[in-house]
Amino acid sequence: MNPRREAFLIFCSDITGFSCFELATTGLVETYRVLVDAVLGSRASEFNACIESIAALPDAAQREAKIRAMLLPSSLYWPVVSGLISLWYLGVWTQLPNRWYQEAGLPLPGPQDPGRTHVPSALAYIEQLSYRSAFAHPPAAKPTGFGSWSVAPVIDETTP
Amino acid sequence: MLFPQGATKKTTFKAACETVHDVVIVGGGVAGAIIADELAKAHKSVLILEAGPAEDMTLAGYESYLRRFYGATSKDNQAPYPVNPNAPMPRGPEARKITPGQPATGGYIVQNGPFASDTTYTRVLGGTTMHWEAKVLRMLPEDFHMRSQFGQGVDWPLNYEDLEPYYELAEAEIGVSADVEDQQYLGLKFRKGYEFPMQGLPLSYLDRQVDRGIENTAVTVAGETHSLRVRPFPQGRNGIPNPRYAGGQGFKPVGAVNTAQVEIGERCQGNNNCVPLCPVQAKYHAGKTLAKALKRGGVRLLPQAVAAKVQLRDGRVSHIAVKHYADPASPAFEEGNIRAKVFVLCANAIENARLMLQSDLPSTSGLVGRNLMDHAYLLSWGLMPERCGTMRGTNCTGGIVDLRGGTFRRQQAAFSVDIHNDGWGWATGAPYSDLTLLVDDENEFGCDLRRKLAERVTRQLLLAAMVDVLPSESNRITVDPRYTDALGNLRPVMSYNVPEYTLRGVAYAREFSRLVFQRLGAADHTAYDPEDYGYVTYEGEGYIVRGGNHLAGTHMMGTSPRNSVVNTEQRSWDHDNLYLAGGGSLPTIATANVTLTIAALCYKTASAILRDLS
Amino acid sequence: MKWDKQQAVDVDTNRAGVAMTETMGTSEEKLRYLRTQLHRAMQLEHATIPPYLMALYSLKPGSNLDAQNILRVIVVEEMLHLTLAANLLNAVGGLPDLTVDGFVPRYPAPLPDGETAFTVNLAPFSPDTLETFLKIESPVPPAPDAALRGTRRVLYGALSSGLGSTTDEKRFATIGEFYRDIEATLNQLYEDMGPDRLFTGAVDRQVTSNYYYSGGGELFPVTDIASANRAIQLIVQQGEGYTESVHDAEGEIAHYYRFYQLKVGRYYQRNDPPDGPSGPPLDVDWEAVFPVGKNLSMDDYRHLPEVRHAAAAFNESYGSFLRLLTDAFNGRPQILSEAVPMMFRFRDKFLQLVHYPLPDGRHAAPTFEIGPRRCGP
Repeated sequence: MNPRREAFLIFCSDITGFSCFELATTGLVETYRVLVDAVLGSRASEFNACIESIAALPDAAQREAKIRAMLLPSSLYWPVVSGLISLWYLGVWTQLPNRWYQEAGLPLPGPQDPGRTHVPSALAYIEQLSYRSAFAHPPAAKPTGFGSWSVAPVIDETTP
Repeated sequence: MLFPQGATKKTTFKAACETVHDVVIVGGGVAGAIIADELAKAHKSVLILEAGPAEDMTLAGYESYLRRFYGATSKDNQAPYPVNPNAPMPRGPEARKITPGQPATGGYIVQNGPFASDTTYTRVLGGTTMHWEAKVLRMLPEDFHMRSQFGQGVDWPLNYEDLEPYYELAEAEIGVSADVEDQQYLGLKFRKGYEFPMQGLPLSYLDRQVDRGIENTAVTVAGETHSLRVRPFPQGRNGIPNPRYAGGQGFKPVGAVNTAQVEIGERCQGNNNCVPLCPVQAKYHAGKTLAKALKRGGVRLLPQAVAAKVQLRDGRVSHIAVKHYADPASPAFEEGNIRAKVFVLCANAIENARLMLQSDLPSTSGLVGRNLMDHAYLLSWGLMPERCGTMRGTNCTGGIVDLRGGTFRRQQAAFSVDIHNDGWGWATGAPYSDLTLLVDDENEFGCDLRRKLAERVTRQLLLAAMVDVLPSESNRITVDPRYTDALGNLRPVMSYNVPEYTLRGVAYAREFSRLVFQRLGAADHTAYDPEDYGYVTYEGEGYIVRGGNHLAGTHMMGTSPRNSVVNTEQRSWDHDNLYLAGGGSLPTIATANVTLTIAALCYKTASAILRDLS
Repeated sequence: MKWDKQQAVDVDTNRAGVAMTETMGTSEEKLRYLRTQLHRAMQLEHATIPPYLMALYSLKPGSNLDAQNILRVIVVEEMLHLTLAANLLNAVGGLPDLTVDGFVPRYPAPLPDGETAFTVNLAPFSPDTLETFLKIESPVPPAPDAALRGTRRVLYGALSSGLGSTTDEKRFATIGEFYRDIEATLNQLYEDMGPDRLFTGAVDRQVTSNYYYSGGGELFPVTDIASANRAIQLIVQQGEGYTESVHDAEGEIAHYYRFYQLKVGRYYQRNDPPDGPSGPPLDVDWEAVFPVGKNLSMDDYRHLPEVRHAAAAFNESYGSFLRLLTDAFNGRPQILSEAVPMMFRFRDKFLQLVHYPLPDGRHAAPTFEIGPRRCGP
């Protein structure tokens, strides 16, 4: 995998708490990487450099520490990071506040632009992590079958 | 279920205006569909006017509802259904607190208040049964005698025994999954040997956890003790066919509607999205009955046709003026008159009243639009001590119905409690709200976030108490020429307050939920924000009351033209050839979701119409 | 050929190979032959399920709704056929076993097509894949051509069941012919033996829609010659169709014609000729497909431990599913209620693999390399 994509995947894994493999099985990694780049516009390369430097650290605890040190305090980066976490968990990209666009020096998104509040695709809705974290499924997608609701929830132990 | 290809395009507006039909039905929802089907069986010519757009009911069309739902950035109970200014419908997110003296005009329904209702209904082919949850409760025998038995509300001009055979017909048409032995409580009785079409759906794991917690619990109200248990609700969705149904003939579930054969929807899969849309059509919707009716010959459907005025001549209805639009995106319309021998309004309690008032017909009772009722929902939510597999199954499989009846109804409203399988969603917007709280407010991320979210969501228990609302003449729908929609039809204006009788029931229901949480060892997380549009106070305590979309009362049935709008067959006392069918006819709603009773009454009405026509 | 020869549980190995019905001697031999064929029928019905599922699940959500619905109907009907074949086998005193080695073919799997065999792959939805599906379901010609029988390639090469392919072995041009032969054998045996000696299976081994509902039509018990014939009719009619008309009496159309609609981009209407559907158009978006690799095996994942693990877990759960079915078909139909949630769970695992981008740009997939049967209870 190309290093930028790999760094993005590792970063997403660190911020969502789902493994790289689990995220890859949603089929959404590349879609979301492209979306975040598009939202960031001219600020994308510095954000990506940041992510790559974090992802380069081999130890998960070190990466978490660096996230807390570099990204959490940043009024520029953290809204993008929390937006990305919400995107993974809820399948919706929520438009960043106007003051973020001001601070970033970027134009506000138009009604068709990637930065607007929107659901990127049916797959984004179906593969959202919120219900998956609760050993369940989003309403109207991936049902568990007639009668399955009457037994204790199945905790999937097979994913690494 | 095959939908006859081209049925929605076959009838032109011109042709519809040129014919004198046996019967014209306003509204292609469950009431209109059942009446049309019954009339068609007797070879009558029927025209159904549907305000919403109607493509042939195909999987592709249905799936466009599903895609719209997936793509909605925030999901409310009308999220799948497109906005149509020519046949607008109320939507939950429009609800706002009402400033006294200033009508809230942001939504389709203009609201005077004081109570801000978030009630909705769906103006598409199939009506609100596209979006309903599909609980199909019969009313209790005592619900028909509220005045004589409890000194509250009014008595129906019918009783349970009168309605029983019609309940059976409705249960057959909707396709109900239930077991008789679970439904015989509080006086509910069934014909000896009666079987439901399909076996009861299994209770959820969550239901059984709650049942374990409350077994051996009893409550005493007004000196009467009620012991509690969790009972499955009868549901209008496909389950395992009952081999003993119809004397051993069995039952064939009706699945998805399409113009070519498909095999989907013949059994519930637990999609947990009953409201606002079952993705596979395992849930009943009136399109299934419409498809049957349209195949019989004699039934025509004219979509994008909004009834504007009921016109009289010599005291009888001579025609209905209709506005027919070509394109939902444009307010351009053509007008015409639809003539028939008999006219049936099936547009729901609010729209029927709106149309009658817009038509400005004389009314002996003066009750058209009055006595508006909707169930008051009181939500309570907590966290169970252990994981209970929330977010699986139908929206609701079981509940506590032991307080649907009893002597306490002399003083306070009865209620039925739903155990929600979909967590705190309705109350808080879970899991979205939980995620947002953790990420935005608490800066959680990574494994901690995943774990904390899981711990919350998978233990969420929501109890929804559906509280009885009595008829009150000041709760009403009116019209006002200041408020119109894109076609120039008058919008409904609602004045509504939650009666004190109901608030007493609400307060008790809150106490009741506290007791249940305590028995379950669940942490009570219920909190009512005074800024919420549904916030009400009673005896110094605050509660949030939500609408139930169970609209009723606006053309109440009764014993005479002075005390009611329609008779027991839903015929207008004042107009021999006009019927007003639907929730508006119900004198009380008690603690039963209204659709089953509406459907039952429609069979009675259809017989009456056939008598009229012969 | 990647087929293991393994004894089928319900049949003695006939070392001389199986001769044609007309030349078989005793009723006992014919009955053994019938049971063997019914086991093969189960294998055959099952064998198309993984390729159809692969095509179905390769479709991106929100796209290709027509193809999704058509493929789904067909898969659901194949499962119905599989269950009906089990009912047939049980009815005539056989013992269904989906856990024998090789019950699930290794893909690519050869299936007969007149003179030659064609290959069935585990592959994403595509024009090629669709052509293969049309071949699988191709209709039986109205009158089987006796003269050609001797020259056709063996169906059994594609299916294990422990019977060798000798020159004496019966050959079938299509699956439809295979079922015609079963039908003939069954009715012949009924005449020879009578119902009591033929239908010896216990009635409580029969699966009805009470126990298992996947759709596809009525699942009925097989208890006598009428229901046995009806079961075979249903399988063939839903598959290839016995007749030349597209729609049957109930207005349903066979798999072949459902697939043909996808090829031509139109639905059939009543009274359309077989080669000319005239109904509403249907849309196929060949691009809205996950680029799943063709016939991927565990070996393809040797450098990807997580994918390997997930693929192995899928194969393991699929194997458990086949064990559950076997158990259910051998006197415990009530446990089939557990099969439904299991199917939905391995749908999720299936999709997880299909979503996964491999380093070379293809997407992963389940391999359906179902292991040997475990020993033990």
